[in-house]
Amino acid sequence: MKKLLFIGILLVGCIDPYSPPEIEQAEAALVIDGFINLFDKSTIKLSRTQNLADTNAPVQEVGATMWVEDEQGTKFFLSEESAGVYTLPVQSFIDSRYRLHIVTSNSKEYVSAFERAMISPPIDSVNWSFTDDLGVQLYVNTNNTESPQGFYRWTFEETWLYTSAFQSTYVYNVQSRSAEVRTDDIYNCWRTGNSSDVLIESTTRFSENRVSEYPLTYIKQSDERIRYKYSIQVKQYSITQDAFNYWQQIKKTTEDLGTLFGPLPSQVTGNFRSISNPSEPVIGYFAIGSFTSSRIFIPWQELITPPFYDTPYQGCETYELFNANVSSFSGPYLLTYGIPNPNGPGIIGYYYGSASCVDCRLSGGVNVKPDFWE
Amino acid sequence: MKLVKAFLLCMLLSVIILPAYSQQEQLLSIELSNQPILKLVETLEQKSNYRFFFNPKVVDSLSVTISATNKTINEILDEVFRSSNFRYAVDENQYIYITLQEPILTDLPSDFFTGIGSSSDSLKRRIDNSRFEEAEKVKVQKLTTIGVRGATNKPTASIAGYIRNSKSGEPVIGASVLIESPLIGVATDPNGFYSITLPKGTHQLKIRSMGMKSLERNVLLHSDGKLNIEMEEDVLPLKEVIIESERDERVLGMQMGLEKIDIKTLKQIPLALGEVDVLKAILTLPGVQSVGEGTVGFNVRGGATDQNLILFNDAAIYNPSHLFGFFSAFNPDLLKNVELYKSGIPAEYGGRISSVLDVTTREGNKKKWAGSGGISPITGRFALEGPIIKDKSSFLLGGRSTYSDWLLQQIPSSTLKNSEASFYDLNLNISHEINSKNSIYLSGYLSKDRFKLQSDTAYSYSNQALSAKWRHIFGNRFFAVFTGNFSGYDYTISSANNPVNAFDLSYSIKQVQGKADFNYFLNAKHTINFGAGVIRYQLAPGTLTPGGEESLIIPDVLQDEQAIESAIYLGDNFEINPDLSLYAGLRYSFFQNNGPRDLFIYQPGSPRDVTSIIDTVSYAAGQKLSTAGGPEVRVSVRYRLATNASLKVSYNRTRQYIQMLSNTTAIAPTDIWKLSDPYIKPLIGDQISAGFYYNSKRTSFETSVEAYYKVMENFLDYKGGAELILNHHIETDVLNASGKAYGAEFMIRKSSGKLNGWLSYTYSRSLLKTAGNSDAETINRGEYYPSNYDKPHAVNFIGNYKFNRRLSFSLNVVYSTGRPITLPISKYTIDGAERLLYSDRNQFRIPDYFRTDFSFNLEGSHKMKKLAHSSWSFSVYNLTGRRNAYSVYFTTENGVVKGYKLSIFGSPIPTITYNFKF
Repeated sequence: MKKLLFIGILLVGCIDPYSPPEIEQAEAALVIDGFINLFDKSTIKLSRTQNLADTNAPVQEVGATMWVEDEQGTKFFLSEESAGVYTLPVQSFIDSRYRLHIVTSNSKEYVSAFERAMISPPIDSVNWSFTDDLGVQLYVNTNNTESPQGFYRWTFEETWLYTSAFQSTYVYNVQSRSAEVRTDDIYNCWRTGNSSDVLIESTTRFSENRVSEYPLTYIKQSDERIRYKYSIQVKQYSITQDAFNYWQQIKKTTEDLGTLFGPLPSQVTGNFRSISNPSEPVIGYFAIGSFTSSRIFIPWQELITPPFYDTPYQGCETYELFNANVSSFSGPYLLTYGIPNPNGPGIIGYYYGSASCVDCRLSGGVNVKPDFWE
Repeated sequence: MKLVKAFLLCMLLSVIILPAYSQQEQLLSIELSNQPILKLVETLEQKSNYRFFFNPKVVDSLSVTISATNKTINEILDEVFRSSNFRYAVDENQYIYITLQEPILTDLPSDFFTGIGSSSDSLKRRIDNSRFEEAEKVKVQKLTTIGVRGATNKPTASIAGYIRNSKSGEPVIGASVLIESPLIGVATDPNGFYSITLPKGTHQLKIRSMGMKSLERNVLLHSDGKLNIEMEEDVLPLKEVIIESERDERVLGMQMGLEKIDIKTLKQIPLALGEVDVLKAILTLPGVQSVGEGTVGFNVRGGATDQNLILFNDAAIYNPSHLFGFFSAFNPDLLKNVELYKSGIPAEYGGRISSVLDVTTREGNKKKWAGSGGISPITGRFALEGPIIKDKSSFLLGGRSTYSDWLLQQIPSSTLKNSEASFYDLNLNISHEINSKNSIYLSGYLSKDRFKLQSDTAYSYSNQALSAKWRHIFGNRFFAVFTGNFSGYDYTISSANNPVNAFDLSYSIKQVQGKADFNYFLNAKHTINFGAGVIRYQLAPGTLTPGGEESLIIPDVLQDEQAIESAIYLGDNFEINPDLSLYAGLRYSFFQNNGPRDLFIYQPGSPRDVTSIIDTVSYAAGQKLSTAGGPEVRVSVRYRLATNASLKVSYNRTRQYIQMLSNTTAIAPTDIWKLSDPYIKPLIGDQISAGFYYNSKRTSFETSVEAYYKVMENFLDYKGGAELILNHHIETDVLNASGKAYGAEFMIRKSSGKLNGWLSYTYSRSLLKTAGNSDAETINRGEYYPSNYDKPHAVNFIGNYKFNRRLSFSLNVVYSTGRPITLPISKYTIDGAERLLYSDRNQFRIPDYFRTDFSFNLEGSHKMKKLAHSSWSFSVYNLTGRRNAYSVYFTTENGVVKGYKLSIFGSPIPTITYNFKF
């Protein structure tokens, strides 16, 4: 056994969490996040980089002036819709190359390189298959016959239905100190998440401009996301080679590091530069174009049910509250359903549980069914 | 034994210096019954002026019973020692010497001052030292006549020949052949060949070598001639002799910055995975570093891993490792000698700028069949050797393989179950002595690795080397070695999981070399070597092919590269006087990159980029693309401050025309080598170093301090996220950097005694600077930044303690500063995910490295006649289980940045190995 253990160590090594010594950042760099959509409203967010240990939301960059500019010098100004969020209603873009110009409130000026507007071909299909451990692997397929080769980037938004631990049919009225019948549903919720990995592919090494079964994400068999119904919307962007290189570097510096033969990390900034101070790092990649999307659903009926699901409700239990004590009910608890009278009709009290076990909204979802849900 | 000698010497001196004077006989009385001799001495010294001298260890067994009244000292002592083996002597100073068997002579023989020869003879008659000397050497008193009387009129003549092991017929390397008066000495070369020029007449040639019985040959030299000598292996090695020969070389040898490791030292270093490993041993030496454990490359004095010329029987080896660097590619059973030149590289070596690691294997046994092998939890190895024609030719065959594949299959984890890892290597050496003037050596080597880890991608790589050597002796003082060799390295990466994307990617280097080296022993003061060599390189830098019919992969083939590298050199070892020696060498190397090739031409003045390509020029086969070259000066000076202390200074320039492209942390099986071309200039290294060497006379400690300063030009660095594989225009992704390195190495070594080993401390820095014409071509604003292997402080301790001849214990302690890394300094959110902004390149460091290993070695009984000799070795690697960071990295997981530390050997690793030899 020792030998076997030893081989395991040899090949896998050990990985421990590591927090680096506190690094003080000299000056937070400007971060530009967004995409100019040719056919729809566009949003660009401005923020600042933050220290690694900083758990607050990023600082928004407010009061900047920002415009998209074509090679003829035509300007399309964005307006600040909310703090740090700048929007542009749909415009008639006729030129082929554009750039983004930003002047921050402290009069620093930043500009991107000119980028070609890229129209994305339609997604061929989004499909999935079982993995060896009965989990679900999702793929995207695309096939562009218009151009010989291309560079693609995908993002996805996944939405899933989940339930809290206990159904709640009663609600406690604090004013009247009594239980009332609940009218809203806090048992069924929908939660939405975004892709975090960089998903890119180039077909330059393929004889056709076709991407076959590009892996998007993997879901474990016991994952709560596929307990009832899961939906994924994949967005496909056609990108330039420069943008591809940029995302490739982002991928390398955040996802592929640390393996034995992994590359060394490096500073990746993008296609913006500061006019005021050329050595100042500016983060973000300006891109313009359109995306295509495709959505699929995976209901539980198509899957193999695992022995149990990993949910945040593992330790949940209910307690009894008898009618006599209802008036003194307090604390971070919610009523669930009634305790039936063993000797006749009616109830003799209520079960209750922690709010986090009863209200599904406390687990990050909403109890409003999304429009696209079927 | 030493004590007796010192004793005799003191006595003789006192006799010479002190004048004789008359002495009134004193009468003494004493009464003792069964008392130790010390009691007698005490009593007599109290009662008289006599003083006793003796070795208490020798006399303590003697008990005394005596009853005497008013007797002279002589009468008393006669009585005491009458029935024992002890003898005594009294001198003029009333000093009494008690000895075993023979009394001390208190007078010089009457003929002492009349004739030296006869006096020593008469001394010898009465004091027989032979039993002491017998243990030290085997005397051969026969007189050998060399040459023909009156053949030449010159006052000197030379003797040359081979020194071989009488048991196996293998050459004895580094054996010293010398006469003591006047002191003239030479050492045998790697083929066991020596040539010594002496005045005509009779001499006593002394031959000494580590682990061999010392020999003396009486020769009568008339004219040039040859003398082959066979030495016997010393079954009970005499440590005193070993120290002298090794220690003197460090102080008195010409070479500096040279580290020699013999197989014996190798075996004492605790093992990581049950195998004696040359490369791991190299890492314990001062000035040698690696990026991390379990990596292949090593860094010598701030140079990159590709700047080491690794020679295996003269053929270059490109990937000296197995199984991701956990094993070196050299089968330890076959090794004879490992030499690492860190500075003062002699003119015969060239092609890499940092160091030369010269690994030579043994020749097979020319007398009888023999074999050896070993078994550890991961590998098994075997070697067989024997004569083809007895005393003339022999072979040595060795093989090594792993059963890790089988072990991987036993692991329940599903991720490892799909993993594979295997390797093997094979060696065959044939040597043949055609006649006394000609011998030939053939050596073949093949290694192959294959692995697949938790992914569908399989990697395999292979090294091949073939070498043929013809050694011809023109005369006693002039010989030549003609070498032809082939080195190959190739790798293949293949993926077959998704038939649509299945591919094979392969890479290969082929190198053919021819060279001639000449050695001329001009006279006792000059030894000249010169030669010339040509290397032809043929590289296939990348071939991508679809892995099946369904695959959409388009075949992509990078253009082949070919080049010729040639060099001529001349070096002279000049002993100006016994205190001052000089080595002056000049190498001239020339490199030419040849077509066929299509070369991109870039817009002058703008950064090299795909967008700045303005033209493509086609070169026909054999047409030259670029040339490079120039002189390489190699100079070393040694000045002897005292017999046990010296000062050395050296300067050398080296040029390198082939560089490795790698932007990974360690040497990876996917790294590619690139020849110099119009865009990639050859590396040029200059190193100046100075050293002070001191051997303590009384204790067996050797100390040395070496300092160096090194400058490297045309170092290759990479743009962030550079793509190195299948890149048709690699010049757009690489940057031209310059480097400097400096440091000092302190070492104290004890090579004899029950306890031996060394302790070294190294301070070193290795810095790079990349200042291009544009921002994209500049790193860290063009300032110096630490290289990946810059580890300023390093301490190494290797200790070996021999409990007895069979059991020994070794301890190894290693400390070094953590290597530099680029850390994320801040985070930001783009596209819904948190990302990292990295610091300046190599601005931070991973935690310091510390490791302790130990091993016990148990040898089988030392009976001479036994079917097989075996040994067991039990070792624990990383005894403290410290989780030394190999790397620190940060990844985005579910949109959150997390930091991790990867350790390769994060717990103590015990291994047990069984070795055998027959």
